[in-house]
Amino acid sequence: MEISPAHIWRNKHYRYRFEVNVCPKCGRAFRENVERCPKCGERTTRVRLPLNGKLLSWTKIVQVPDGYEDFAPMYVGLVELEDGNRVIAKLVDVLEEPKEGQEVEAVLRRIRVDGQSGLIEYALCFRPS
Amino acid sequence: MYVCHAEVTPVCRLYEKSSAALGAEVAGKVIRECGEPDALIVSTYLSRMQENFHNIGALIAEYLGLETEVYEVSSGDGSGGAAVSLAEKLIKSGMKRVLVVGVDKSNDFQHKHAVKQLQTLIAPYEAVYGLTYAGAHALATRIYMKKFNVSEEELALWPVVMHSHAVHVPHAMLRFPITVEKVLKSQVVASPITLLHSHPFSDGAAAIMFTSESTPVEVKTSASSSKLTLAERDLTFMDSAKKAMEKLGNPEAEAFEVHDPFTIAGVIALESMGIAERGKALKFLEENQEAVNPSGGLKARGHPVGATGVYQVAEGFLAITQGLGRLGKVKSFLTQSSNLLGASTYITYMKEV
Repeated sequence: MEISPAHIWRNKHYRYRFEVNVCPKCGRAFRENVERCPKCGERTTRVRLPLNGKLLSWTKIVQVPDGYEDFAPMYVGLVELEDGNRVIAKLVDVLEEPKEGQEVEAVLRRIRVDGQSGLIEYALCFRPS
Repeated sequence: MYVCHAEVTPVCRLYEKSSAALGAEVAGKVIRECGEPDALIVSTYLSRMQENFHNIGALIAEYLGLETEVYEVSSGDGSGGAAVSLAEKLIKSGMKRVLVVGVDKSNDFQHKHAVKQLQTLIAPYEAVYGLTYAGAHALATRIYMKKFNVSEEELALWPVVMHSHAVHVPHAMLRFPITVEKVLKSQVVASPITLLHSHPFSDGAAAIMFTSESTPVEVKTSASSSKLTLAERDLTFMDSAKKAMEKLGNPEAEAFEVHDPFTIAGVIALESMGIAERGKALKFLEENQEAVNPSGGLKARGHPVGATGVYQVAEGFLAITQGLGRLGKVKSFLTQSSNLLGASTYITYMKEV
């Protein structure tokens, strides 16, 4: 596993709070630190996305990548948030098969563990609400 | 631009050869047929991670004894198509011959490593949750099935037809027939995608010499891009494929090689390119079996990721000059190579002249 504290640090606004950087001119949202819109040159503003939404699509990943064996099988969902923005994130607390249209809410969970160095990575995931 | 000659290796598990050796071998055959190129373009994707070697273009050139310009081109799983597209620009700039070599390896480690390496196609903020190449296509599959009211049985037609083609193609990887029942009962990879809806992990190399001098096969290319972020897209349509086809004047072809690492990608490709109506690609496939992926497609010919787009064009050349599998000989051929479900799409149109 290669968990990088630097990666976690620079991505923390989106991973922990669903904060995106929005260009006031073109309205595009960036899911990482983009201080000025690369297209318009305008200074972006940090906006927090809603933490509730409904499930548009989901998958149960059985053939997991190297390093995710302990989490197999994993559920990943495409969620439409209350304001219409869409995000892809992990589904947790899945007790019965997810359903399209199901209401979900964001919750901070452990998503990876680096076995060698003991680093733990957290991110917002979704659970049935 | 014209095709002078093309060569491919069988797509399979080629444990005994490195990607540089494989690429140089097929390329050498093409050079001996057509003469030395003014430029070499190499396309690879997984081999960099599989062999922990990121300078393959230079080594292939060395093995070939070339002192010409060397470029490596990358555009995810559409890298092969991108290399062919750039070759046309170099030919138009005045070069006489441009050699494109697509080569890749997927089987040097256990599959979970290739699965992880293929995650590098996905934006980091989506891949971090463990979303895989198959998982991304699974999200699209579920939306497509609901939107167009398509069942798992209906989707299973795609791999069944692909395998029926590959049986007749000597360089294909999965040369055995399958049934709808087998597709449905095969192991789940990322629900609702099962193993038999998925591309095999493949090694292979293909080389094509393009030339400015007239040959029996003329080629035109076109490319376009859309967004990479999966959450921001309509996962049932590839805008980039539609735009690339429009730029080419929506040419009509007798047969197609479309990019189908998973069933859904092939279905969406046919619809986005305007070959089939939206929601009707499987019906189109049923009625035009020979015309769709006569090689067996990524599903059955195999998917040596960075080489796949080059294989497709080589197969178009084969179909026009000698005939290909169940399809036989045709006069026109379209290929579509896409980066992660259409973040970018590269199209080539070949015709007999």
